[in-house]
Amino acid sequence: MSLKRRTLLGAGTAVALALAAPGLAQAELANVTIWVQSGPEAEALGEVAKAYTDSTGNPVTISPQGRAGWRQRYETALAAGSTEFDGVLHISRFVPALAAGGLIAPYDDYIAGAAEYDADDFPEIIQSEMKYDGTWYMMPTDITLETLVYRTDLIPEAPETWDDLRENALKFTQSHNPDSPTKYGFAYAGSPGNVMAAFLGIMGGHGGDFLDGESCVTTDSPEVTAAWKMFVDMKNEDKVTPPDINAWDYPELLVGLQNGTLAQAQFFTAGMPILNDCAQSPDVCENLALVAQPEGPMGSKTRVNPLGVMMNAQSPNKDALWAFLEFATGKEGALIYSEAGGQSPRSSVLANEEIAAGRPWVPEVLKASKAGMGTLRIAESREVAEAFDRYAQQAIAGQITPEESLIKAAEEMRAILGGC
Amino acid sequence: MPMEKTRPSGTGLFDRIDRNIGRVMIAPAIIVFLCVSLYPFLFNFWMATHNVSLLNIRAPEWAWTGTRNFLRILRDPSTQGALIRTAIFASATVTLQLTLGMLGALAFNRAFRGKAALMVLALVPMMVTPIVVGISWRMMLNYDWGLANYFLDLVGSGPLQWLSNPRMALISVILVQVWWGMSFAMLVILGGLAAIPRSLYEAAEVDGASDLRMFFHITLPMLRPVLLIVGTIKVIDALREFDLIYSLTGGGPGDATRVFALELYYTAYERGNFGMSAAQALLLMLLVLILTVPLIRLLTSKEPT
Repeated sequence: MSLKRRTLLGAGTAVALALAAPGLAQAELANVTIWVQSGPEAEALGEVAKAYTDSTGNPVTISPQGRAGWRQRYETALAAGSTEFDGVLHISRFVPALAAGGLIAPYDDYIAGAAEYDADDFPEIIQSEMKYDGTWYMMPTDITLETLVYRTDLIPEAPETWDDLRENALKFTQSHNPDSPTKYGFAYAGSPGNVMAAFLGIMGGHGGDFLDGESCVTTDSPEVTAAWKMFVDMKNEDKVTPPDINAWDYPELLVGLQNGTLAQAQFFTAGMPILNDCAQSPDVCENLALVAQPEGPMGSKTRVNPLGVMMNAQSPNKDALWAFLEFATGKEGALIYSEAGGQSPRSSVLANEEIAAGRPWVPEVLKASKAGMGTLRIAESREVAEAFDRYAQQAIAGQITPEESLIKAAEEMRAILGGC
Repeated sequence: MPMEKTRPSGTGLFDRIDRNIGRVMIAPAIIVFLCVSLYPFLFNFWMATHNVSLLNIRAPEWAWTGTRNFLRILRDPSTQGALIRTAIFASATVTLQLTLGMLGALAFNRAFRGKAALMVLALVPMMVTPIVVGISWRMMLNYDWGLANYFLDLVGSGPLQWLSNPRMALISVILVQVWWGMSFAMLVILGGLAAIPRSLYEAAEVDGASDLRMFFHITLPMLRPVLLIVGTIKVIDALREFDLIYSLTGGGPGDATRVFALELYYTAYERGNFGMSAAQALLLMLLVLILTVPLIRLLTSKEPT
């Protein structure tokens, strides 16, 4: 081949490659950004992202954001149509309103097109929490339950029923029993924004719910009233909870368990690593266990609080985000996530013996998730929750009776939903 | 004949620049103001007159509601309650901060041993951000292990439900706000005291005036502008207070400490009703103007001799 021909061929090849290169680069290097609250979830997801990038070459940026004002920040960004992030990780409670407003995109087509993705490996309650109106809007990455944490050195057998819990609470409250080593027999997060969630388990155990299958308000039903009265009376009549329980949030519960103030408490499974760590909880690390919520007349229901990634409706990288999430929430990614400190809600991961070996509460999580109690799945869920919370707080503070608070809450809920 | 300054009247380029130099100099500031203040205000007004919520924020257009949002909030018991609580909160915090700030300033206006160190301690609260104040005081006011009840116990008094009793919670929020804001008032008033001519007091002493008489007839009148400035700032702060109360009580128990700024937040981010929240924001702005414009007028009016 002559020099001239070789030169022309070389130049032509270089031109062809230069034209094709941008296309080739884009297909493999779509950078996906996921906003996550700073903390263990961000760290665990970071490990999954690293493993994904190592195996596929596709970059993923896990961007930890400050916890203060977190929800307001990402909601404002979604409402403004920001493309600063492709996905955002948060709890499932906020899915309905965001989905109804068109701020997050559905995953159904992606899941349907992923032949090897086993969505049924997630417990039914988790699948339900990921959906709005029957459509997937969140991919589950983490599970945490509001279970019962109790002192095994004081209560050898976990309370089976809410009546058992109440009996234990009376026995281990100093105002009833001066010899009690704990000051209070029971506590929960009763501060503004937390009451509805704290009440879910006992309400479900009594066969009650805020809405029925047709989205009619049943907050003032006999079942809910019986559960609510028992819940409020534990503070105002039995006096087995801290008197300022309506100012308690999860940090107070953690301190109360760590310093031995509480015999029993409704607490998140995500807090167990701290409670079981003798460096952080020296007084109680070997004496705390976790079980599903006690049974009511209709069985045991435990509040489920999964976290997952929602897809920004304005994201230009939806396919790339799905590619990452298919891995991250698939069996391999879920295992990496759990090994890195998170807790995947996949049944196969929850049943993994190696994971359970280091976390003795995990088998209970698996058991409790099968009888989980989810959150409201309607577009007006937050308005309805806020209405309930406001009157619930007044009942806990003793300003109105439990029955009155439910009647008022139900009235306001019916006005919000414009229905029955 | 004195020389009069005249504007350039030529038509050359430099003459034109000379004539318009003032406008050119302030143009960047005006552009920034228009972008940062006027546009958001107009957009807020637009939202307040339309049906905007989380469920339709991305819709191509929003339905016109006119004054409906404003009428709704005025009739809404939640908003009415928030306004009453805000009035109580603002009156109490402004009065207490000015009073205690004045007392502190008078105390620090004298020389005494350890004054510098004590002054630094007294100014520490204003160096802490409101959200940190709220979180710290939440722990200090905890019924079981908070410092406040610990000290009450030491003096033989029973513990108080600082944040969980609805009446007590509002008082607690007021006290924390006063603790945080008092040092600013004290600092500014101290500056005002330092500016009062000593000769006035000397002349009054010669005439046999008592300390109390000198306070009411010299100190207070001379401090009038300073007190008006501090008062105006404190009124504005009190009306728009959010982060300290949010981190301390979240507006609870129930809605016992839900002042207007928190009500506005809950309307936007819990009820998802941005139109109503925008109307509330305009109402808050109007309240601030109604209360502070007379104060500013007093400040700029002729001072009594």
